[in-house]
Amino acid sequence: MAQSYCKPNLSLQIQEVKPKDESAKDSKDSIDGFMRAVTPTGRLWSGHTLLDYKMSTAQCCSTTYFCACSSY
Amino acid sequence: MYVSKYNLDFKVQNERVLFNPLSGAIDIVDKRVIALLDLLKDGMNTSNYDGKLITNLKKRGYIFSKKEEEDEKLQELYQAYRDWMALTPRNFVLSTTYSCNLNCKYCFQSQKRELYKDTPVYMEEDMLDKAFDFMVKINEEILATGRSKITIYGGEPLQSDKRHKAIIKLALERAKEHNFWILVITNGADLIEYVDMLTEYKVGEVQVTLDGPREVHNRRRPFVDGRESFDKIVEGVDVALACGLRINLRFVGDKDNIDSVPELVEFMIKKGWYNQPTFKTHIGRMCCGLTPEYEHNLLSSNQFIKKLVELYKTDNQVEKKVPSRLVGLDRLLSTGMPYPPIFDACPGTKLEYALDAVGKVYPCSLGVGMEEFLVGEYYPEIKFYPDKLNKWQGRNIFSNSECKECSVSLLCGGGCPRDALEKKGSPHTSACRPVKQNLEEGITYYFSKIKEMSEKGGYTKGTTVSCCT
Repeated sequence: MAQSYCKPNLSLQIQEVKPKDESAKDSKDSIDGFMRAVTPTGRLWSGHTLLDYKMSTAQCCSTTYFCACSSY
Repeated sequence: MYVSKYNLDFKVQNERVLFNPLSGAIDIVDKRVIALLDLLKDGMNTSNYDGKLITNLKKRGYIFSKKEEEDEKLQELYQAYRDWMALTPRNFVLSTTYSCNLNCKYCFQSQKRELYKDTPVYMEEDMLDKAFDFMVKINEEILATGRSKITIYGGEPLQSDKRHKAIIKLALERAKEHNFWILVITNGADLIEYVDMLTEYKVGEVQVTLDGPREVHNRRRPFVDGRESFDKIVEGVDVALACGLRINLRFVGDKDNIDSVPELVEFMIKKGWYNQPTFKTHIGRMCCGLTPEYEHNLLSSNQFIKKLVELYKTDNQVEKKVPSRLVGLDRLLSTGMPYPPIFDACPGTKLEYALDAVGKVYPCSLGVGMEEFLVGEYYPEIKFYPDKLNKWQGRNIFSNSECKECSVSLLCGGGCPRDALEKKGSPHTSACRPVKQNLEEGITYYFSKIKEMSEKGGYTKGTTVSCCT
């Protein structure tokens, strides 16, 4: 078939994102013999972090962030 | 003291993992912590416990001084979620046809061929113009500054005849004029004939489905006239990749084909597709849109997760090459945080509308053509059915009594309405799944990695997140 438009790298760049640096963690604070933190102790969901985080996952694939629902 | 109703406790390898989806905290805890939470829940005396532990549990969002604090947190996050929705570009699903060139053995539409026989095979130009009027109007009303997208869908949109090609070309042209990002969902059978066009219009992603290696796929997804489709799809993917198109190859698993995944992966490796930067795959579970005769082949969500873990354990190529979200743990492992709370799993009428080939508007692609999902029309004029629309727009975990009380609602967001329709007869109910059991499978499978994260004192550095993996 004709390949008149067949040039490499023409497709749109799918956005890749980096979460914000979570430097605000007091990583060992919760290691008190009873609890060992898996997720950063200095970072929990707040209105601000949630908005940032979700904005960064919204547009990047043919389904949406919501297709996470199918994972459960 | 109030113990969060969202706490989830998992027993893994003689250890306990505590997860609170509202705060996003995950901790490996001593069993005495679980005992303390039980005492607190029962209002018992906890003076024997170290005050620092209580403080830590509070810091991590597992307990609050009073219930109202948790409600306040919930509202704060819900508001942020609404703000996010307001600022998020929309997805418009454009079904340019109800017809399909394949006759998949399980597809409910095969039983509707008779029903669709008088339906126009493809969208006419004036209807397409009206569809764009609709999408542009909705897009102008939102606050989002990013590009909204159009997902071209069907039936099968990329069919091998001049009239289908003409309407797709026109749709791509209109999308370009209005600066929409374009995606295509296709069975891939005639993809090769569209590669030039999709490349010319810089289509962002093409989703193609293979149901397994050649023999399995051909048995399940023949052309309407009985021809085999595997080789044609593969040829289309080859050419598309050579032209730089981004291919998202989808595998949907059920009892009949799930064991063929390793063979398909081996095939794709040999093809060299994984060496192409524009190629990715994903795996999902066959769950709806089936003929009643095929339903016995479905894997339940828990069976699917178990099967996936089994495949990942026996063949590590499968996990690397066909990643899944595996109950959301992919995000935890790649970014150090789980997915944020989901207040509503359904984007329909909030972030997404689906426009069919005969002028009707639905909330999402899965509802196209279904009376229970109809919310309006875009042809001959734009018209919404307010009662129906309001029901969809008001759907979230607070509007459903089951979800309101559920400890996993922030993980499943009430589930998919299409699933709810098939399970409970209405899309406006919850579609409950064994979320906790599924999560336990995933946590058990990834426990060594999760433990490693905890031993390093929690995840320490942001990692690049690739999309939809």
